[in-house]
Amino acid sequence: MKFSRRQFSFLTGASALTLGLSANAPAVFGAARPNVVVIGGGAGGATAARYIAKDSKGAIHVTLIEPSKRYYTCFFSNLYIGGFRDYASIGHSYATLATQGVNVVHDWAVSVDRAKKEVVLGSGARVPYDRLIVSPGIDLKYESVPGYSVAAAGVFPHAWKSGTQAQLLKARVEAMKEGGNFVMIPPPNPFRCPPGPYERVSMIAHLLKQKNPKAKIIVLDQKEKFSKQGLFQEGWEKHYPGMIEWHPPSVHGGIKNVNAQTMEIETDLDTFKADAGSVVPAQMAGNIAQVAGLTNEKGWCSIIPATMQSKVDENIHVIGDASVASAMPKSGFAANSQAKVCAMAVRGALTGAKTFAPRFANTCWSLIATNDGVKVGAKYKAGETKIEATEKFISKTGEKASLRKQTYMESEGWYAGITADIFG
Amino acid sequence: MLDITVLLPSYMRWLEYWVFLVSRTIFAAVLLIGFASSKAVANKDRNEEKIAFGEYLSGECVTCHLISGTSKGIPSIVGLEIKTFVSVMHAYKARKLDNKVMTTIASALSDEEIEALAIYFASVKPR
Repeated sequence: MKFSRRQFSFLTGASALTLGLSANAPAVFGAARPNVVVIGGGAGGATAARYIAKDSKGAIHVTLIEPSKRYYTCFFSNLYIGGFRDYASIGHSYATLATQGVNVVHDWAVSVDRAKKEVVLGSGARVPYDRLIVSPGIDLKYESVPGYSVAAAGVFPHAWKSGTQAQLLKARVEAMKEGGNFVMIPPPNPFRCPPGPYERVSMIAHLLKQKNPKAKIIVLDQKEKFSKQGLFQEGWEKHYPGMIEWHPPSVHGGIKNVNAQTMEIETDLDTFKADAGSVVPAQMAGNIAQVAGLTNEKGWCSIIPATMQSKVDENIHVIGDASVASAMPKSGFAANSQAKVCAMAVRGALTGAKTFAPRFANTCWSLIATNDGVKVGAKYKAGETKIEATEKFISKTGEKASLRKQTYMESEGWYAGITADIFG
Repeated sequence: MLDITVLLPSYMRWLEYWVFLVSRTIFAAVLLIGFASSKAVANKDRNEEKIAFGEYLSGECVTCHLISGTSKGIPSIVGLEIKTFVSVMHAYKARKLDNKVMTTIASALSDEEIEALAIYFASVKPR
């Protein structure tokens, strides 16, 4: 193995540091090349795998377990639905990661043997780890909406994990009869991508305005208020006047039943006849986190903020949507940010690499209409028990069109940046 | 007549004196060279330490700014001159520039951190 001067001084520095701390040195250091296994190849997992492989310069063996060969991002899937992006442009391969020192395994992680520190794959193979990073994203609680099910998702797509569900949703909107009703049921808190349901409403309105301008969109929300509410409602009024009705539970009284056969959605207020619709149910950490026993009573994984370590197992880190990141929303940006903090902590623990104070950030951009982008974001720090926001910002209502266009262009730049940062 | 030879150093004393002088000069020279080179090494190490710290901090930047140096809706910061990078970041920190993402990021960075980032990004070659 060849080292540049800089890498060499790094390594000597690292070994000197570990020598000095030998009393606390982890048992694995000095043994064979340590193993890190990452479950989930999304914004959290792929970033963590890539950064550990890149920054450890081969000192750590990294295996990424992800069933999909091609990953379609959930972020920007709304822009695909609205016609601002083609489907291929939100798909990413793992080929570059594989050439950057990550052992990419396309399989399902079906269980975690925490006593033996092994991940069991769908094929039956067992993969040993010194540290495990769990980044499975979300799973859906279908039954949280009465009448909704896996089968009903074929009629009312949740499309909350991108992929074919997003394609189905777009196809169903495009096939709506003239002047028909689209019914959207956003999820209760907490859920992946807080502005997502409302950006989706905007994108569907944009699509319908061109192809089916007499169509209506009825939003039957499961909460009283939502992210960027003032910005979205101003935008709906401006770009899609009279097209969108939003009803909180205090108005509709709760979803009583969703019927995928009759296409009827029953509430206390009324029974709504849908020509197409999207139901996004309540959510929880991805199934493997539940199976591995990492979740709390609400179905999410509690973590130690500074390292993203699971509160129930110090050899396991949980990042992204599955974790309880307190003030940080469940977003691809947040998962990518947490992954870097986690990657550094893992390298520090396994090879004695120098660690710095953790830094977290997030920004969520949303598109309301052509060239009308808005954003919300914050900086965070690792508190003792929670990740805490230190500074926040949000776009303002009444902003100039030029600024909104710039914000949209910025979101396109961010997409190119973050996907390169995740997938190499 | 006064014998002044007593006042002069002996032959041996002269030799000693010259040896002393020469050796002291050599010693000083060696010391100087050694000091200068160790200072150069120290400076180089210090610079590499800053690059390493900057590289760590850059994790926050490359979520949006492409490390390849391509710009697409977001300007490239790869290979920027150090003083340009530093002055732009300070303008964000002082809110003389008003992109909210950048003022939020910059306000959480110390002067040392901005310098480390500037040195790191100046060291990266656009691809």
